[in-house]
Order: sequence, then structure tokens, then C-alpha cells
Amino acid sequence: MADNETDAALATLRRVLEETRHLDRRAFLRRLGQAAAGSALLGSFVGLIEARNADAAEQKPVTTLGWGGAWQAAMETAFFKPWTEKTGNAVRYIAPYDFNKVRAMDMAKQQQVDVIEAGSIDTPRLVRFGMNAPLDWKVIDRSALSPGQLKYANAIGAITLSTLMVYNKKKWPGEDHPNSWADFWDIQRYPGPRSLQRRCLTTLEAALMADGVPADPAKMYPLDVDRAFRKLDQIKPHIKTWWSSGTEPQQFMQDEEVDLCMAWNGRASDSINNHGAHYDIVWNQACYNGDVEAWFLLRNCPNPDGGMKLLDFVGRAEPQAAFARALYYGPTNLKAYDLIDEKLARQLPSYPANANVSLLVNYDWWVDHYDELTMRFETWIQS
Amino acid sequence: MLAMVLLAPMLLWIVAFFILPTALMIWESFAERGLAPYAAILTSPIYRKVLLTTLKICLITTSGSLLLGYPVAYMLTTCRPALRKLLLVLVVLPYWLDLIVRSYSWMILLGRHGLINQLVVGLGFSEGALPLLYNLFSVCLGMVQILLPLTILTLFSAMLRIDLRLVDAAAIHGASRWRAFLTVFLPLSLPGIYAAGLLVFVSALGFYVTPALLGGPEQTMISQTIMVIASDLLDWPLASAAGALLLVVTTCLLLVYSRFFRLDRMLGGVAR
Repeated sequence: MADNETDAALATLRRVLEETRHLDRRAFLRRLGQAAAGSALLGSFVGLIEARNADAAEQKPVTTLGWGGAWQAAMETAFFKPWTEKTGNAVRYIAPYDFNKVRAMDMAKQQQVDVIEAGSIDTPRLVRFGMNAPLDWKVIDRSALSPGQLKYANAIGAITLSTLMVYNKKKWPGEDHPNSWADFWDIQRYPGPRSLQRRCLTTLEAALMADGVPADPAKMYPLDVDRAFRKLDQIKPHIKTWWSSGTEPQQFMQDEEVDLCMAWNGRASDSINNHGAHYDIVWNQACYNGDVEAWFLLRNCPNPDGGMKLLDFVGRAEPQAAFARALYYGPTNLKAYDLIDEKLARQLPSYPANANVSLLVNYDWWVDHYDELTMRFETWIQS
Repeated sequence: MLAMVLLAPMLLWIVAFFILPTALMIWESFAERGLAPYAAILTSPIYRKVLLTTLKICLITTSGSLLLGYPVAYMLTTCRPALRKLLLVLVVLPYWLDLIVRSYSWMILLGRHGLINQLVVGLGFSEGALPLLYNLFSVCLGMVQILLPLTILTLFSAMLRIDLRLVDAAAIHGASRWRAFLTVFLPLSLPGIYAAGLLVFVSALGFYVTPALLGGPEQTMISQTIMVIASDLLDWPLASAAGALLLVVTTCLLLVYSRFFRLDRMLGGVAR
């Protein structure tokens, strides 16, 4: 009798193996579970595998990738450490952020990263390349999120950032200080060395605002590119240096290398609050990234279950507030403002008074024009 | 036979981690769009400009490194052994400092309110701050500083092989110190100059951080452009083609160089 049962179980197993050759591990286990329903022996065997798998899933860390340095420290304090404490699941953080690497792994169907916090042009690109996996709203609690965080399908809004202007407060201490991109371009009224970012994105918008286009997406996009370059021609001789990494404006402010500078708001606040830079931020006409920065679960990733659980956490108000406290980048979850004191809130891009005077950058327009305009901008800047 | 066995690990290493990736990169440049990326590079004015800028910066840097490094190497060759040890430590010391740190320290020195400008303006030599940063000067300065140890050590190892008694012989025959140096030591040190020049030039070609931090847009080097194409535009075929073309240009330069300067001899030792 027992021999018969063993034979039957082995036959079933052989059949299942034959049928499931092309399936991945999870589908195979499901099929095996179905086949085992009629056999006590196979059932206990499958039970063993499932128990081992559940253990492995719990211990397997979630892999994410992002900017190193202060960014990584803030990410760990605000998001990963509290989540690990809550769930016991570890997060492995890879730096530096490299969208190329993630895309190469996706193309090779060898994705090693589970969760990514993408921003700027990478968000619409990631969606366009179809690199993200569908989100499971049974695991992720939608009710904890703000509507803006769900702007992109299968993504959860992360943080907000503005690219804006800072000015030297020692030079213009009073009421009469530069307050718009037109003032940035006005070298008679506000003389002094300047710096802009070496990137077409937001620099073209700044030029158009300097030329009189209002900070209104409906009137700004599609960009009048020729007009923007004509306006940039005017300011080019007065740009002492074009920066390419976010630390450069901080150094410019702390060493007073330039009097007017384009900068990312978090970096600017860090220099002003923590490193004694006598500069002030101009929120008027800031280029605001809105809800473009988002968390994604990557398709074919090694730990989708762990990643999904992490995504249930990162969009919530508490960790977003903690991140804002660490790095001055704003929450997309507006409930986070209840947890942030007013003094800090006023330094964040999504704070209504700041967002209302900013230009919401249209990344969906940019994703179609970025490559061409980058080459044009690079040619222009070197000529 | 023993030589081959001992050589094998290095050969394997080079094949696996240099020749194979380079071949893959060249393959990548053709695989997707055929010759189109090469056409794009050769017809676009920006690449020509960047390539010329790169060559210009490398030439200036190489000349500067040789001019500054030669006297140091000469001193190392002729001075007392105790002093030589100390000098060698001083030469190698900057090697241990991170590239980015060194570039940022130049910013502190050369900036608008930097040490040099405070001195110059404070002592009344100039009305306003001198434009010392974000130009050709600052890029070449930073690169020369980084490449000097390499220059000095290469020159020094070549000079060590020169028989100093030949210089004494010239002196005995009545040549002044200066004349003995010019007619005996300098010609004998030429292979060292060629070797150091070549090594510095080729190293300088790939610089990225220094021109990015210390230069302006006019000092854009080819590696910066390749970086923009690869990581900002995600155009891998174009970036690979730009890399492959750089390789071709470098190889051509090397071939010409070795024809004129006998590459085999200058790296193999002193021509006697």
C-alpha cells in the first residue's frame, strides 16, 4: 500500500516536472501545490518547500538604489531603518544612483534591484520603457496616500524638489534684491558673477521666464526653444561657471564664488541653515518638479513581495516628514505637513505658498525633447 | 616556457577585463544602427571641438608636467641618498589624496575669495579678483598637479640608468657644468622624456573629474561628453562609438609616436 502511494506520488511529480519546465519558480510551486492536493506524501513535501520559501522571503533583503552621501543617510533614517524595525526585513542600499545600470539589467531580464526612487526625466522614461511592475493595492494602503502621489500608474509619489535661484544676502541685504529670473538676467541692476546648471532641463524654462513667459505650465509648454536660446545668449558672458553636480552650488554659496546661483532647494537650505552661507532663497518662479519623483517596484526583480511591502511604507506621511527634516526636500504626501513645524514647512517646495508661485515642470513634454535639446544645449554652451 | 606560465595570469586578466569589454563596446557601437553613430559623431561640430579641446589640454598638461618634473627628477638622480628618500616620499605623497579632494582644494585656493586672490587684492597688485578658476589655466594646473608624480617617477627611473661618470668625463675635458648637462645628460635622458610624455599624455586623455570641477564649458573633454551621452541620454551606441573613436585616435597617435621615438627602446631602457 505504502509502495503504491510512493509510486503514485513519484508519477505525479514526474508529470508535474514535465509540464512545468518553462514556468518560473513561483508558478511551479503553485502547480505543484495543486498536484499535491490529492496526495498526503506530496502534500507534506510541498509544505516543507513552502515553509522554507516563506522563511527565505522574510530574510531576503529588499534591494534599492539611490544617491549616496547625505541623501543615503537621510533615506536610511527616514525610510529604511524604521521599516526594518517594523517588519524585520532588511534593505540593501546600492549607491550611486545609476539609471543606466537599472535599465541594462532590465533589458537583460536580470533585474537585481527591487525598488527604485526615480526622479526628473527618469520617471517618465521608466514608465515608457515599461520597467516597473504592477502594484498590489491589497498590500499597499491607498488611503494613506495623497491623490498627487498616484499621478503615475504603478508608482508612488516620493519627494518634491525645486530648482530655484539663491542670492547673496551680504550684497543685497535690503528689500531690493533679485526676485525673479528677469532680475537674474538684469546685470545692470544686480551686477555680480552668476552660475546656472549645465543642463537644458529647467535652464530653458528659467530663460523663458526671464523673457516674460509666466510661470504657468499652460503658457510655458511647449517650450519656445529658439526664444529660450536667444535669451540664454544674453546671459552667457556673465555666467562665471556652469555647475553639473549638486554640491557645486553649495561650495559657490559657502565660498561666495558667485552672487546669484541656480540651485536645488534642499542643497541651498542645507548651506544656509547648517553651513553659514549668507544667501537667501527666491521661491518666485522656482522650477518645481511636482509629483514626478516616485517609488517604483521593478519588473522581474528578485524580491517583489518584500519590495511591495516597502512601497506600502515609503509613501506614508511619517517617513516623508522625517525625510524633509533631514534634507529639506518636501513631501508629496500632504498629510506630512501636519507633522512638520511651520519654520521647516516654509522651506519645502510643496508648501502651498511656495508651490503657488512656482512653475510646475512638464516632464511629459521633456521626455520627448530631452535628448535632442541636451545635444543642442551642449553644442550651444561650448560654442 | 616559465615566462609564459608567469605571464598567463596577467594575460588572462587583460583579455577578460580589458580586451573583451573593449570589443563588446565596439560591437555595441555597430550592433543597433550600423555606421549611423559614427556618421553622427564625424559630422557633428561638437565632437570635433571636444576632441580638439581634449588634445589641446593633454598637450599643455604633458608639456607642463615635463617642464616641472624634469628638474625634480634630475635632482633626485644627483642628490645624496638620504635626501633622495625624503624627496621621493614628498613626490609620492599627493598620490594618496583623492582626486576630488585635490580638485576642491584648488577651488579654495583659486576662488574669488580664495587665498591667492585675497593676497593679490590685499597687497594691491590688482583692483578686483583675478579670474583664476573655471578656465584653461585652472584645468591644466589641476591636471599637471595630479600627473606630476607619474612624470617624475618615470623620468627618475630612466635617469637612474644614466652613467653619471660620463658627465664627469665631460667636465674633465673642460666642459662647464651647464654644457656637460646639455651635451651629455640631456640627450641621454631623452628616452625618459619620451616615455614620461607618452604616459602622461595617454593618462590625461581620460580625465573627467578635474575638467568638470575646475573648467568651464570651453574646457569640456571627451570623457565628459561620453558621460553625457551614456548616462544622461542613454544612447549607448553613440557613446560606444565616441569611445571607439577615441581609441582609434589614441592608437594612431601612439603609432606615429613610436615611429619617431622608438617606443620599444624608450620603455626597454637607455639606448647605448
